[in-house]
Amino acid sequence: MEKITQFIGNILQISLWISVLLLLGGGIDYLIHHGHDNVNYHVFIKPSAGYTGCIQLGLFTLVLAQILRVLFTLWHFITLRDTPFALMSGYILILIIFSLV
Amino acid sequence: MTALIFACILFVVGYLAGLLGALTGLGGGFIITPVLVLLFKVDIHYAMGASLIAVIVTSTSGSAAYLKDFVNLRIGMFLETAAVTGALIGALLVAKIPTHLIAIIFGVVLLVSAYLTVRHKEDLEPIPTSHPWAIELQLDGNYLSGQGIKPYRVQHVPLAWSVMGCAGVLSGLLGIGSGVLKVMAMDQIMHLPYKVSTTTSNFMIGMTAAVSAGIYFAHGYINPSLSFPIILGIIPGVMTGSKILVKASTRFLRILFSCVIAILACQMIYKGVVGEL
Repeated sequence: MEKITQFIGNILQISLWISVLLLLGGGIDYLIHHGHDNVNYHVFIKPSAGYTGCIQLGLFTLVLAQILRVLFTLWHFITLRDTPFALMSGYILILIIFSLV
Repeated sequence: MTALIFACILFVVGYLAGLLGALTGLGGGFIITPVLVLLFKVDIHYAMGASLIAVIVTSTSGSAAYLKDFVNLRIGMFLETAAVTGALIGALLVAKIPTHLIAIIFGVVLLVSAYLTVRHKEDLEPIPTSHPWAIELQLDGNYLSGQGIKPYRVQHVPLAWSVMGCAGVLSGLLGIGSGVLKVMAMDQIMHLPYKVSTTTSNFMIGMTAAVSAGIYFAHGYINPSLSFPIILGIIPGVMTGSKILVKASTRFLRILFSCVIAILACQMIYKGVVGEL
């Protein structure tokens, strides 16, 4: 149990730093090009992708980290041949992936 | 206001949210939505999107640090099946429910959470037997306490599972982590040690929020230029908070923070009722 939680912890830590780098890079790029634009978030407009692609990637990395968290937990329960918990992990995994597509 | 100035302000908001969230155990998501909506007139859907991402970040950075010592992986995954189902329902409901009603529900949830945080908690008597489901699913575990390794027995499994489903719905509907409700389900209903409850809750929150995040992305609630400064602020905020936490007494801070949350909650309810959002 401790080994797998330690391993998942490391995966999460790495994903977090990759995401921070992407957000930082994308954020600086965005501010260089649009830093002096006036902003208005008062009205909800469905945004178009484009200039914030790098930031989007950083945000997706955070969600991807959660998928990896479940994936490795699933793998852990499969190696233990623990069917009920492997099924539970599989259900959670399917729901997260389903919500993304 | 220009994008640069607003990004700097959002960075500070994120930092403070992370700091207070870590110090009080309430999580950073709680304060972000009301602050953005009430102080900066941000649309509530954008605010909830930013908050949801903040919740994932808090769970991810917290889990990395504390995961190995206290988290009960079996309990976490078992309860998470209810939480993700609820989150999916909640996130799908966001587009269907009028904005002012979301603000009112948000306000009420904030008020209840503030109350739960400050009320006096009685130490529960340890029960020597476990719930039959807990035995069947091998949910009981051990944890490292001040007096060495101690076992704990898990109670009221079906009730806790149901409460977790409700926590999931609220998480999806409001873009929060529902940490207060999750911890309550584990330490008050299942009789888990507090440390096990908080760390297992934190472990679960990221997965619950990931389900909602997919749907929030699809609806365009997660605005990249609004979210990134908050996230970049929240990470050092959580780090500072966790460092101070070791030394500081948090009782006073919890009360203060809960009062602030209660005031924000009342304003959210008021704005929802008069339809100003």
